[in-house]
Amino acid sequence: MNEKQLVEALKRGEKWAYEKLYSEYAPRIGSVAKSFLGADDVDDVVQEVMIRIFKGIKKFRGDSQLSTWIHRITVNVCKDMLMKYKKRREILTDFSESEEGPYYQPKAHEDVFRDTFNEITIEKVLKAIERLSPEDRLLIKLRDIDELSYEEISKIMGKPLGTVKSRLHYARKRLREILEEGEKSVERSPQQNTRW
Amino acid sequence: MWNDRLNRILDGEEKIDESDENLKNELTIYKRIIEVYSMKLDYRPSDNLKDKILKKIEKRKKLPILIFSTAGITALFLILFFQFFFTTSPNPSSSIAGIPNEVNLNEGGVVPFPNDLVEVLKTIELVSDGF
Repeated sequence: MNEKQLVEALKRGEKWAYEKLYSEYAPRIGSVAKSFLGADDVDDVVQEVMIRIFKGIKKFRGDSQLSTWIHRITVNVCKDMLMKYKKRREILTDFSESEEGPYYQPKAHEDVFRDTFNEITIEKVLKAIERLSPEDRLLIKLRDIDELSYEEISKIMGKPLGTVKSRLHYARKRLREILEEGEKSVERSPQQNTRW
Repeated sequence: MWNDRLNRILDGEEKIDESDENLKNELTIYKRIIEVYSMKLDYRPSDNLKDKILKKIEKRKKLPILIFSTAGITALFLILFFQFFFTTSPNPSSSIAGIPNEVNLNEGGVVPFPNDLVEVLKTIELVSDGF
């Protein structure tokens, strides 16, 4: 089964093709959404992307790879979601101003497999990554984790190749700087002493 | 310190200099960051979500058929409705008086006399003759 056959079956609306698409691409879609949104619950994004694929597959001419097209849809859905979150947050901020105090969401349970040392290290890294912009996080994910080419990333992000490259270089540098800042503040603190 | 050389090495444009310990350390640290981040981004979609999505897609596949059939039935009902109430119903006022429906008032503005009415008037004239 090659990509062309899959696309044709998707255009015909065959169920097995959507099942295959889901098993093959849902993990990637979810992963991209997690990096862009910085959230763990991305089922809504996966669902929306699958629906948009169904709606738009007849217009897909095969100029780019199917994976590039799907990545692009995912980024667009994530951007839409982010806009919605921002609007909702603005409304919630207005609402919370009238309340007596801030609401603290309880922390989720940590994974059991993490030992104490790794937990602190992982937390440090994740906090540093959280401080990057959604697009910088996505660039690092696409290039350094998924190992996509700059051309593909440029198509996915809808930005010139040069911009993508310089932006990624900046994001890597910024990530290291944030971690260095964290290490310095940890060194200053007598209670915590964690290293890589 | 982070520099362009490190970026080039990460992009596979330059090979790492084994003697440069700083560079090697930086690279190790960055690879560790990416490893951790990769773990964080791991996503395993559930079968429930798969069923939910497939059901939605099935519904959407049937949507155009549903829209077209609903529109067709509505149009059929409208045609029948207009045909029944506007085209086949006789004009009661004209039929009672015996005046034909299509009267051309432009031809001198004279309404033609119906034949049966003329007959009735003739009979009355005959009966009343001599009084």
